[in-house]
Amino acid sequence: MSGYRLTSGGLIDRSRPLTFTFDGKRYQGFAGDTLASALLANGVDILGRSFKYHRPRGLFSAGVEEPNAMVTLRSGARTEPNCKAPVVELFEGLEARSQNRWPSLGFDIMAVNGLAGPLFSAGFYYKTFMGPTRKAWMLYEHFIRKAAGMGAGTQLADPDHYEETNAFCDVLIAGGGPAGLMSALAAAQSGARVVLADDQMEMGGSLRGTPLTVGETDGDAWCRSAVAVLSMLPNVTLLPRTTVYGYYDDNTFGAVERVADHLPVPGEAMPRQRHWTIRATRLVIAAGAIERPLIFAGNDKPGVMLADAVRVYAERYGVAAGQRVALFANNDGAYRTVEALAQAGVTVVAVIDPRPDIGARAEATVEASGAELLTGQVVTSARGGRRLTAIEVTPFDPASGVQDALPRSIAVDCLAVSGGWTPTIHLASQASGPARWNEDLAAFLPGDPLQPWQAVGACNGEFSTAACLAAGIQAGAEAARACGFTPSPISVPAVDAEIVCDSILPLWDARPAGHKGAGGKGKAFVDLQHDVTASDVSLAHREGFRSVEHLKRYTTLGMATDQGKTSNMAGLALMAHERGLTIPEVGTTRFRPPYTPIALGALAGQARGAHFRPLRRTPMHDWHLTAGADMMEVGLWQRPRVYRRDGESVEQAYIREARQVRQSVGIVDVSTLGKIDVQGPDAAEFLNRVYSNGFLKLPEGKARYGLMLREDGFLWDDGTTWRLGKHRFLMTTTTANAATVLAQLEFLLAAVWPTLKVAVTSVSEQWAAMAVSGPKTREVLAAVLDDIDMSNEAFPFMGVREGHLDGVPVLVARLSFSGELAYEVYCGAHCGDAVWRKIMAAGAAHDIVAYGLEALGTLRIEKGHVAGPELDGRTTAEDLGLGGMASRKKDYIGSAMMDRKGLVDENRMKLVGLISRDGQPVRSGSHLVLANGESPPRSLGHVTSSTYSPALEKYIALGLLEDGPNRIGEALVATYPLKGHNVDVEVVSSHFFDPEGRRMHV
Amino acid sequence: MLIPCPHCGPRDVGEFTYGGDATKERPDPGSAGAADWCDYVFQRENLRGTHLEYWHHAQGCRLWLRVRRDTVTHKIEAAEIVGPWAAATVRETGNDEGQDVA
Amino acid sequence: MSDLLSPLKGHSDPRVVASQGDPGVVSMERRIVSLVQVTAWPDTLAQVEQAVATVTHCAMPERPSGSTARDATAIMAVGPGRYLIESDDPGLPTKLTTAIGADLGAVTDLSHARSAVRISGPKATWVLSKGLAIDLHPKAFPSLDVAQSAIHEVGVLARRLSEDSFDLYVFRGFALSFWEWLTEAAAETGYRIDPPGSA
Repeated sequence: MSGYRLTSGGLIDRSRPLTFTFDGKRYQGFAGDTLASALLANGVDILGRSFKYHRPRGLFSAGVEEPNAMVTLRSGARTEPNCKAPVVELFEGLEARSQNRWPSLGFDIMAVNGLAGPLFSAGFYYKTFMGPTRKAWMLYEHFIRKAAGMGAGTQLADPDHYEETNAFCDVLIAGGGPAGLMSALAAAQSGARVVLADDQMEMGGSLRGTPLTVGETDGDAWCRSAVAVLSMLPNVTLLPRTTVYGYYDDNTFGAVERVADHLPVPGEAMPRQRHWTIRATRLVIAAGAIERPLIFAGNDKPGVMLADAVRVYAERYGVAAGQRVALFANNDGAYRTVEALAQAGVTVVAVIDPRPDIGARAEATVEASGAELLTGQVVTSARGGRRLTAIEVTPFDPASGVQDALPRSIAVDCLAVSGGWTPTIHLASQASGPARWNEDLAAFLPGDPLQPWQAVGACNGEFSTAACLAAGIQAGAEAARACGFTPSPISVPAVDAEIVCDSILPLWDARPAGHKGAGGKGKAFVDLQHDVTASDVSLAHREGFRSVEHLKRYTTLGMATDQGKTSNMAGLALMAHERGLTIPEVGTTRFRPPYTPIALGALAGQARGAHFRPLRRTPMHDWHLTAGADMMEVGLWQRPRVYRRDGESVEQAYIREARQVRQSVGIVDVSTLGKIDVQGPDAAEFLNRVYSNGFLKLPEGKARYGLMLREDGFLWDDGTTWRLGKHRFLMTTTTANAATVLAQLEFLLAAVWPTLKVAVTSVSEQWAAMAVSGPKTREVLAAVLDDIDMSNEAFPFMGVREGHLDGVPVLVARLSFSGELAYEVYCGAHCGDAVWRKIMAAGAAHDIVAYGLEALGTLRIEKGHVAGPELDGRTTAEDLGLGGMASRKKDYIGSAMMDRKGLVDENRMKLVGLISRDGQPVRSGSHLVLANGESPPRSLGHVTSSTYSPALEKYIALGLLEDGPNRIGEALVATYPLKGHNVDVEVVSSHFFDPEGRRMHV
Repeated sequence: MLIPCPHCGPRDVGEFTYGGDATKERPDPGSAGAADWCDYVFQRENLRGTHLEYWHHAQGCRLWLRVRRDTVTHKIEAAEIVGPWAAATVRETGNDEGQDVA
Repeated sequence: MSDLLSPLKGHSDPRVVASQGDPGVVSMERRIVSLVQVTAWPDTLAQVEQAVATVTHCAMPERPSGSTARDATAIMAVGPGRYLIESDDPGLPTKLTTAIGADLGAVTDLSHARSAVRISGPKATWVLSKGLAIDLHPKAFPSLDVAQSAIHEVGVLARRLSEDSFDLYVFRGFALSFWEWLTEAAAETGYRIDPPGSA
């Protein structure tokens, strides 16, 4: 119990207490608190256990860089693991649980892992479970994953909803601190469209809660007035609680707005999070900087915190991080923490700085605080069990790194550390050349832009508020100018002089020289979240993993959910030291999106559940549902599979439907077929070049079945095309290829034959289409058609007629996919339901049956008509017995390449029919093998489509078989080894039923 | 990636379908040999740098475009209509067209 | 015409869904009477434009993705040499087919192929932005401009009527899916559905 609430100060509202629980225990905080500040105020020291060693860990930072304080929020379906306590806004009733501990946070059995330290050093798993012991992984994986991990998610469906939206602007500003706010003001007053996104609960960044005077007022009030001004401007969109996480091509950005995460549950109709796709002409990056820790033994003890976080908790949240605080820093900027603590009345015991000399202002600050100033010294280790109790301090020679005096112990319960600052260059590095090294700051700054952005403020190495404000004005104005606006000058508000981190003594490793590389006495951590120690880096170096990319992957440094925000620089520095190189020579890894973890729900947006993809419905959809159809997805389309009657199986239903079509009459919805309107003086010529068979001489009022090849000579699509006039055709395609055929026709007209006067337009949605089949079809249709002579003479096979069906304009074509007397009836889509019902009514006298995809398949298989399973992109017209339709007398798409050697090989697989000899169904996908051949058998082909045939009263199938037509009469086995399914089949002609086609010509 | 459609203006690449190498010309069926067809149908350079390629504005105006794109930077230098309407009046583009880098 | 069935029947009936205050958007299904696409050949563009203007008594759009309107007729420039014409005249497809022969261009009746929805109100652009990845700022997308794009994988033609009202045309088969998307997207701002109309 060390942290405590100060009696005054901070941006919290002490009149609005909030109750929350952590690991089931109730605590109180205030409105304006984060979960972290409230726990710190309640003196909660241990917030989690570490990843590998299960060491107790406390709060380390005050922002998104937090490596330790990861908690699971809420419960039930809203459980969310791995939330960083410093960015969780407190609300009434908030429920948080610690992670990676068992049975409890205070007593964790897995902490024995710490005693087995060397076991878990870098590469432990690779070394232990690869090679001969690999099988052991199978045995231990479950336990290891359980021991080393983060929080557990929930298996329940997320009850919240998420949205996505789009924004366009002239200037996007990422970061709402002093530089970002100033940029926004400067850009917005020019009239440019500005979006300002900031990831915190309120804009202001480092100015929030500071006593610093900006202009006429304190920093906090200045931020509030800047936000108030911006929110009045119609050309400005403010996005608080929004992280710009990714930088994509053409200045497109991904951002996530946490709309309702600060509420117990989202309000009615309120999304929990909203994903923004933002397209901006210019980007201003004002992303700030993240403080770096220092490396010494025990630097992960609860109570060791980043110095600026200690200041932020005091100034912004009115919380003291400890009762006896020491500062260990290598730069002047960190002395602001001493200033803030002294102001708040918190005892600062000592200030330890490796530099022999520090700035006068810093020195005066320490003196005023009453702390002991120990320059030229370092902290070599932190002591304590569940909480920091003491530090050991020793003189240090910055030139040699030698520490030869005996350490002195100082009792403290909080150590604020600062190793300088790392500019947040993540976003910039996604669209820049290599990062630039700045020697004074010992930091990487953004590289040269590859897209139109500029960086300002701390992320650009400008650490003082005054510099941020000045740079912000300049960047905002410049960005607006680049978008064609004329900004007028704005003056920079006056700012108090601050202690600024303008140079640091690069000190990366404060361990005594003798202990470096040998494990040290007590672990010194580089990456707190992944439990990577300084010794692990040395080990990686010794084992040859020397490039930063290898170091990262071998040790997992920087690969945790914080992506190494506090650890990357130290890791690079240690490796540089090992290799005797400078940090810029070692180089840095490139940052990839996202900057912070984002919920998958936010990426999915509305596209989940029933809205995962849109559904496409035919005009008769509601009728099918009312009739009890089993609907199935065909692409995006919903189509009836079977119309089951009481107690029927799918098989019984389709057999009944198919049988009724052959016996009397049936109707099927074929509205999903692709329909393309082809018009123009050159329409016939165009079709003649697209189809493999002739279309020039197709008479008006006639339809023709056509085949389309690909340029490479393989079969692509089939369908009928109807000549409605001299220059007007209606082309139909398969359902599956409707979109690609249209795109290909458009391509040919644009790129290949631009002089042809032809227009193609999708009319798939214009027409409702139904096929009526069966011996009674003529009688049924004649009863409802007003003005079409249905006699065989007047309306022959393949004829097309325009007329009316009970007053509704229709197109009727005499086509047959089922092999029966059949007609396709097309009408305006809005009339489809009515026309369908009229035909059903007229057919009632003949027991007309509506049939689905299964029966449609049965009927066409009985006829040996090919469909999608046979048109699989690997078959030729010849393979499917359609070679006669591939003209030799004209040029068309595919004609030049269809006669290549491999495509005319006699042994190619060709279409055959198959009949089950043992009464078993033949599974589609089965391989065709010899009954008593070699073992394992060689595949001679495969089954493409199968069904029970009510006409033959047998299970039948279509298949592709090597040299198929010459094998008719042979006995083979259709084998499906995955299911152990073998059926004896006989090879027959694919024309199972009515091979002469008498039935459709009556 | 944004493709500046001459009819619709700059649109997200998701509205377009890639149509492949736009430098290939379909051989004259009357005179071309097997090698010409093989080159047209199968042979493709995997270029690093400026590439001329077809894109179909399938979710927009349905024009086929010829787009000059840098395969390294994804920067699109030009997009023009393919076919009989190549000379058609095109949409004026805004001042944000220049991708100059500060 | 009792034989006509809207794909939104039973879904687009009037109602108000708003948790508090005035609904941010108003949606209405519009029943299309005639919708015709006219395509000119490159060398007949002027003649086709003349023919369309004569049949519709409406001026032609003067720039790509522009549109014009007169009474209940709207002409939208949807591609080079390609126009989409909506009208309350059921005879429009026939009249245009008669006026424009194959030598001049192509006329395609799409009266049944699209469903139309009008969305208006102070939050109309906010709601549309959730699906349309195009800049809806009046400077980038002024009144009477049309944009062909997609919302949640559904092809959409959007025509701006005024700063806060839009006509949307979607493929008929996707109409209900789109309508469900729209009402879900508008739930946040609250919405009112007005009875189906035709203009």
